[in-house]
Amino acid sequence: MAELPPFLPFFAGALLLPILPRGLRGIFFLVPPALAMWTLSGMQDGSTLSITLLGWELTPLRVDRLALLFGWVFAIVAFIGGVYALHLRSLGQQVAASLYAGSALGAVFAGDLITLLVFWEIMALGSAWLVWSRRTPASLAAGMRYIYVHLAGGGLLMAGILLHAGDTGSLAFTAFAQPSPAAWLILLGFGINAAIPPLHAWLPDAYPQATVTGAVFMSAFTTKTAVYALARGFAGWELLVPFGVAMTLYGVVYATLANDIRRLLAYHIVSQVGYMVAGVGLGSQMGINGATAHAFTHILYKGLLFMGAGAVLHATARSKLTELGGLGRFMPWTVALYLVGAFSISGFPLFSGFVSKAVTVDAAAKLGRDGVVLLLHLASIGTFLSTTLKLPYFTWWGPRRAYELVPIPWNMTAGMALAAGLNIFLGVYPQALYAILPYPLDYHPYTHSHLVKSAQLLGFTFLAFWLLRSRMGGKPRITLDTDWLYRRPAGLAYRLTVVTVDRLFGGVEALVLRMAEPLRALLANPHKPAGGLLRTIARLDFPIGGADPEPACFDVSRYRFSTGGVLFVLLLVFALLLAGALLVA
Amino acid sequence: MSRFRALLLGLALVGSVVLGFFGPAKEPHHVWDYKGFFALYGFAGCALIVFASKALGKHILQRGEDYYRPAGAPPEEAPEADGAHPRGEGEERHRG
Repeated sequence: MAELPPFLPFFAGALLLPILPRGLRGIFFLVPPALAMWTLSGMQDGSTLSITLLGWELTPLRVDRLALLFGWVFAIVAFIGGVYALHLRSLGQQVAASLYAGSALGAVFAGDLITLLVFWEIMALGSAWLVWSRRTPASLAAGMRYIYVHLAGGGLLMAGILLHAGDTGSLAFTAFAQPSPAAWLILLGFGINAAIPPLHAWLPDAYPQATVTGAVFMSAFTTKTAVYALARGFAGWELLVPFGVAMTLYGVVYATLANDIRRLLAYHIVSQVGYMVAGVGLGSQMGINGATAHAFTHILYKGLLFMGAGAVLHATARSKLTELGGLGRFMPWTVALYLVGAFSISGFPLFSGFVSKAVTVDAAAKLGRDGVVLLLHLASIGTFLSTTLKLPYFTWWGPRRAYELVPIPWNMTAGMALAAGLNIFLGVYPQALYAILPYPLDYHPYTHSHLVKSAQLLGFTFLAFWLLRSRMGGKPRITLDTDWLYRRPAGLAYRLTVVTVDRLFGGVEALVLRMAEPLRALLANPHKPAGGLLRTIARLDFPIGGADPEPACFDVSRYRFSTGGVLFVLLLVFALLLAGALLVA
Repeated sequence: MSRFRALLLGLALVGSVVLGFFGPAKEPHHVWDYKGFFALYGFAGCALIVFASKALGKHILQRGEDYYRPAGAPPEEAPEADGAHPRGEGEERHRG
């Protein structure tokens, strides 16, 4: 029983959900995560499940410490997200979220690349559905862009896997030791899902368009599965260090400019995943430990932040800083619980981010990467600035805007409380996290220098924010990102292939219609334009209406005799010619 | 900020710098081993991020909200005035 793959309960749940009564589905959604946790608790490090398919050995289940860490946090966040979404009555979203969570678990326990690829693609579909489920024109378009990018990423991954299988004759998913075309393709596929700039634009494009509950799941699974895959396959690839560090600052800059609160948080996913990518790139045991520890806490606090922003969206139907303000008194629990997440992401002592970020940064310091250390601290300042100061200040403080509020369901608050509790638990008792990291770690985050450093960084960042706060508010503007490269040409392509062609056809149609009117007038009575000749023949008629001018329309009886006469002559000539030809033959 | 809160903030800031002098003594190997380095870094870093980001946004990156809207498409719907139908909750309107 212990060897039951943890994705199975989710997939079975997705099959059962449609036949359950609507009222039970919300509760039932919690069963697969609970079953998965039960399965995980019985799993032995090192056990595998293999099958042979078409002569290739596939390993749908491979258990080790790295996979278990991600498996646990995925199951936990699926459960918390389920509580947050308990009020949901949308079958499509519940099935999509189940498949999405299940395939994320399937991907981290996949021992071979084909199994990984299959789960990778199901994740793309499930998450795209959570964007489309919001059913606004903007979310439909963003969902389409999202799925195109992920299908392209999946294509790169598959090309790399096939090439790799051809090169090495093995499908096992292990570390890629040597750079090869196959490894580069696979790295690109992973990099798209890890949202490494310039391949990241799908994330801040789609996440703010997802449903309130959908965005919570999305913030957890896609990028962190990619971090897992990078840690497994590309640990120590030096290239990942500069890209990871650049990511942390890239997200910070764009979050500072963001107006939509969920886009601000989405850019801070890019920023936080940068710490993990850099940790993986460092490649030391401590670097990998830092990356995975940060992934674990990140899922918990980022889910919490998206839950808080989602509660604001649910209550106000608004998500832009320029449209929000002064809501704090009306949702005190949301503010308090959101701030737990914000303190965690900012690395406040006693909150979860403090104990995981420090490991990554110290891993860089131990390797003598001083520049990396300083830039990661700079990103940390920007994180505190946007998520803990700017977003709450302009959402919950200040003058209240006039609009009605929809009450927040109790279960949304309960989901936030669960996540907040775990963030505080890990902050207070970090050894619980350190004990499950891939490599043994003897580390104590609560040292004098760490505490003084945090107090100074956070305190003086707050001071600078307070002095500059008039410049910090959101602007009703959008910020161009690398999605410009495919959204702008898309407009051009649309104009070229749809608008222009449409206009061409329209023009031809109008021209034909315009020609039809004079032609109709011309041909209504063929005798009339034929003029003199026909009029001459017409004199042979027995005029019914005297020598009237020609009528506008053809009148059969008027020309019966003349037309008949001409036809008679023609037929006679034809008959004579035919007879002559027959006689000659 | 009330005078009381400003005083609290001032105390916390001064305290964080002063406490830095009471740690275990060690030779400065890195730039961040100097006392009070992170106070300066926090303040300057925050100002740098704000000014650099805003300048980038103003001169290069930011556009009107309709920038990507194809010509002829309807403008993005404004939030409902009564707020009774959360836009984020397609599920509320499409029970199934």
